[in-house]
Amino acid sequence: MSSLPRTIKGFLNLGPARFMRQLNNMGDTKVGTLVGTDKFGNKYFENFNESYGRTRWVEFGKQDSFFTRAEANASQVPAEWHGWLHRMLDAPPTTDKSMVTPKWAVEFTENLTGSPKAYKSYNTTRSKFHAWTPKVAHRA
Amino acid sequence: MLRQVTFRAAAAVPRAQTRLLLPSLYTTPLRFLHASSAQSAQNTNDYRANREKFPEDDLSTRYTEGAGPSALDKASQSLLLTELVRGMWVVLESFFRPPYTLMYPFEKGALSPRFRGEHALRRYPSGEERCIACKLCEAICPAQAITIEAEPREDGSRRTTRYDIDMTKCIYCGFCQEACPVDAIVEGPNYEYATETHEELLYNKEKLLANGDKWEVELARNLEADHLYR
Repeated sequence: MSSLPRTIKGFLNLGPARFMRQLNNMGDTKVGTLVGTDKFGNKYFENFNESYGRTRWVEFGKQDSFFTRAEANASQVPAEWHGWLHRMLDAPPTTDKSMVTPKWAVEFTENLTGSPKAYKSYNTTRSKFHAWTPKVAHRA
Repeated sequence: MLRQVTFRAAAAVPRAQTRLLLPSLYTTPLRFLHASSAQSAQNTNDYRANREKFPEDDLSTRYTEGAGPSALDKASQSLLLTELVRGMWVVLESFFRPPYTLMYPFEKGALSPRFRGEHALRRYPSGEERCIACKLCEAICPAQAITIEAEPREDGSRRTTRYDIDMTKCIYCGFCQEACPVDAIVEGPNYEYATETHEELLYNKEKLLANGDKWEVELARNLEADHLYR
């Protein structure tokens, strides 16, 4: 819950840049311990003194600014951190040794809809109907 | 006090014994043949038996004269708008409580390992695709969202050539993953796959396999968390 003492405490702990950014994004100032950073630069925080359900949060690597809007995106949380952030798993992937990435795993991508790389449906079978070229019999 | 009220309520309803004596006056004689309340008071689905066993329950819903607030009470309450004041007091209390708002997407709601989100086709640890084209998922699908075509591969193994899911038809019931004998089709934990066009939600086999490759880290964990119940 945002209150004046909490906001002042947040300013002192976070510094002006992160303070402004958090107020812009979350509308609240949250101070917590940094649990880890993923390969996209998203930072994951935890503070058990927060109210129930708000103890884990993410600060996205991509930043919304005046010039670039809608850069940060909910689907940017990769599969390794997804379970921790959604409170399915207790341990973050930095300490969880049982989390194995298969060798054929591909690079995680965010939801690419609206971009040129968006998925477009296509047929994976060969077509069942083939056009023929009609031959006209020569008439005497 | 309670005893008096109970007696009054019991007098208002016909007793079972009275009904035995004068059945034809207010009920059909066939009621005798019924498994009635008088014989089997254990049957709690029988409302007559309940009425006799727990008269206080019946009183809570039944109008009894003189039991409620008096006319003077009611008049003073409506004159002084006490209900409005009580309602506004609840609003005032909530105003000073911390909000329950979750600041999505920075904070996210809790999910179960069984959550049924976006579909994915999984692979064996060797990288071989699991799906053997048995078409059980296609058969069970109540929305008929899955289309499968299969033919033997070059090495003779039976695989799908087409595995399409229309994600706009799918009702996310999870029958496909329950039907699958090899854990190939699963519904993953991802629900952030909204698209701008309808066409992007017509998933084919390549897209589903790519989903599996992307999410396998978490899919494996979720299946492991649930394996005792499967």
